[in-house]
Amino acid sequence: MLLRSNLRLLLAQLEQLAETPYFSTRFEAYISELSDVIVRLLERLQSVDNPINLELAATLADHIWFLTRFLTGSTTKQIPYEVTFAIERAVKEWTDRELLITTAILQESNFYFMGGSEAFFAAVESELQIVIASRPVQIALPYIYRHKPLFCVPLFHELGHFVDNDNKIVDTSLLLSPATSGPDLPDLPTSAEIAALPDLERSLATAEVVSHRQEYFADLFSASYVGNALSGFLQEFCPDQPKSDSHPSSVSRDKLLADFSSGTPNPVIEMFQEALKARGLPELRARATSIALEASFGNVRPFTPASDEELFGLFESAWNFLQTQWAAPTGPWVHFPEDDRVRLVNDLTEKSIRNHMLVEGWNASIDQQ
Amino acid sequence: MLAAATNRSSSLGLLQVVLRTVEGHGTQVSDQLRSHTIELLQQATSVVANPRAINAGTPKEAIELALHIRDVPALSTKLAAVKAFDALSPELVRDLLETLQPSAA
Repeated sequence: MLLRSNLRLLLAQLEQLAETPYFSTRFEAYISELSDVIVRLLERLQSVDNPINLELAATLADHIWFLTRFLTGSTTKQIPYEVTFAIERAVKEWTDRELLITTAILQESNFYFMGGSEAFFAAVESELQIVIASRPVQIALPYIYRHKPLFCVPLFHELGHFVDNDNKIVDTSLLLSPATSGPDLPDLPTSAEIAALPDLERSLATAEVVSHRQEYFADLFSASYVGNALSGFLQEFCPDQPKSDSHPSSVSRDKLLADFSSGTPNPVIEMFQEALKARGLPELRARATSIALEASFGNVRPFTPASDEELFGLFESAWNFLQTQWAAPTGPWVHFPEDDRVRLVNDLTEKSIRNHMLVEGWNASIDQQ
Repeated sequence: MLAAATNRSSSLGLLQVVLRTVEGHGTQVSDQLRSHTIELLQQATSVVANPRAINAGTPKEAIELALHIRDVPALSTKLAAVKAFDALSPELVRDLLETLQPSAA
């Protein structure tokens, strides 16, 4: 009873969402497909001739509920289009699928990046004969940062976790370089020490290696796009963190990022490059171009990135500009109080991204003519 | 929490549901899903046998499954011998489902 009732309630909610003027045609098509899944599921649940496995139906219903949550958060008018645009650009390199990015605004200091289960879409196709082409993804960020792009750089780290999970990069690294023989990680027992542990302890130590590899990969991934802006933000957001079961220490994270930035050989970086190569994915490398912002930001004017490399480079360069102006303002910036400098650099960054969006849109419309 | 929640970061939820039908839980699933399950088991055991064979086309479920069964050689060997869904015995499925319980890889 509850399962069918839940499905009908979700269907009603999707019908309401379909009337939201905010949604693009891509979202409307996706909502329509999700609604079709519910209708077909209800039919199969009531069918005598062609019934569906109840546990499978419940699993699908649970996932539809989960996916509906992605859509509800995006009906607000609080969406940071500029940051979402930069994230969309970064993710394009890592998937062939069309992603529908939605945004959730949080009242907490947290960020996440979440996608639907590929197994759900496979089951919908095989059991209900409905093909859903696009994939919904939700990014979440704090409400107070929604117009502070420089404080949203952790989204690139979260995107790294998403790309990892979507391609099983860390899992691949564990198969190619197990915790018992792979490169030793800072703060953790050596691979030889892990190999010598009794079963249960080895399992716990391996779980810690998994978590730390996931964090290191996400850090390196984000550094590929926003350079030192993430480590700079982390130093302020969670300074001097000791090692925990789930995260390496701040010192170890900084060291790995410094090696990546300077091109210093590091077996952990090489391990990830090997896993990415095995999965047929691009390597970890800097995608950003450093930008001289003195002529634009220095005169309190936005910059116009001419390429995606400059778009990504804007994050690190603007972060560095903010650090400089915070510590020792120059030119017109000497007249602004400290807090205004933070607001203004974030505003200029947001406007600079918007400039890139406008120029691209303009060029695209000309190309179409 | 009222009940155990699905681990959404895992790609093996569907596989577990399908495997439980072998133990006699509920209506059978489609032939397509049964074939998919066998393909997945074969790919995972191939990865266990030779991780260097992982490539762009290896399904992520196979990679995740391989990590779970890698340290249970007897189970991996038995799974490698299964060529059809109907050849999955309830005992083998029970062992596999137990192996999938812990999340540590």
